[in-house]
Amino acid sequence: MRGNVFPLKYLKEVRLDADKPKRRKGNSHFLLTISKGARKLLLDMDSVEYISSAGLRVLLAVAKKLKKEEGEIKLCCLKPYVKEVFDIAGFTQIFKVHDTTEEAIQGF
Amino acid sequence: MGQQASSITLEASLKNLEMISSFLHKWAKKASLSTHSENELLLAVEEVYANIVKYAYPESLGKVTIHCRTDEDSLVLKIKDEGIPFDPLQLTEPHLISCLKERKVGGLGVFLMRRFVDNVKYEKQGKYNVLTLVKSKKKDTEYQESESRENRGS
Repeated sequence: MRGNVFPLKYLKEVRLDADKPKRRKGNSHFLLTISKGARKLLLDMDSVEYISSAGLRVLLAVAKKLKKEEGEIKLCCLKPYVKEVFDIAGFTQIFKVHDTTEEAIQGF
Repeated sequence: MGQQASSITLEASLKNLEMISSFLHKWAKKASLSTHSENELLLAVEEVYANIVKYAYPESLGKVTIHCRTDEDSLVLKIKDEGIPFDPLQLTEPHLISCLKERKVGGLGVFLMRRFVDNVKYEKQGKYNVLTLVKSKKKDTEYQESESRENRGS
């Protein structure tokens, strides 16, 4: 934790949509972080080479959840392909996207 | 000349996405697609496949066949299932609302799929739904050339 911002870094091998609850009442990694009290989430996408609508769905659900809790999610370091998907899906208008981690943290 | 066409048949389950990804990777390499174009193609196929898994076979585990071939200018994929008939091209485009509160979760898959391939065709062939996706190799070469020009310029 840096200040009150929770940075999360995703690994290349992990699919965002694989981050599903194991048990019915379990929490995903994101939701668990939120339930532990995180309100400012920073998702470093530097290692994410690929995303599909399944990953977008997860991000949108997390953003909605945080909004309800008066928190916010920001993203940084998007690879060109991921950025393209974001642009087409209109996600660059919903999410605050920054080029670097530092820039994103400063903006919170 | 190497093998110019092949196919895989899988049970319609999300567990098999990894196999689809390897299958496509082999073909993308053969067609000398950039990683960027390969990702676009994988997204298109994944979206179609995920819809089949979710909606085509509500009662039992059905099969999906993915057939791939290359021709001079493109990679041509045919995705075949024998589930509930569904033409993704009939879906209306989602509203890309920029307000987080009003934005609906989902509905983006088919929209993205259509943007990431150069041609899509749906046909009902007997009991089969056949969706043909065409990814141009030529556009990719142009993209790579302009990227390397930009890099040289900077």
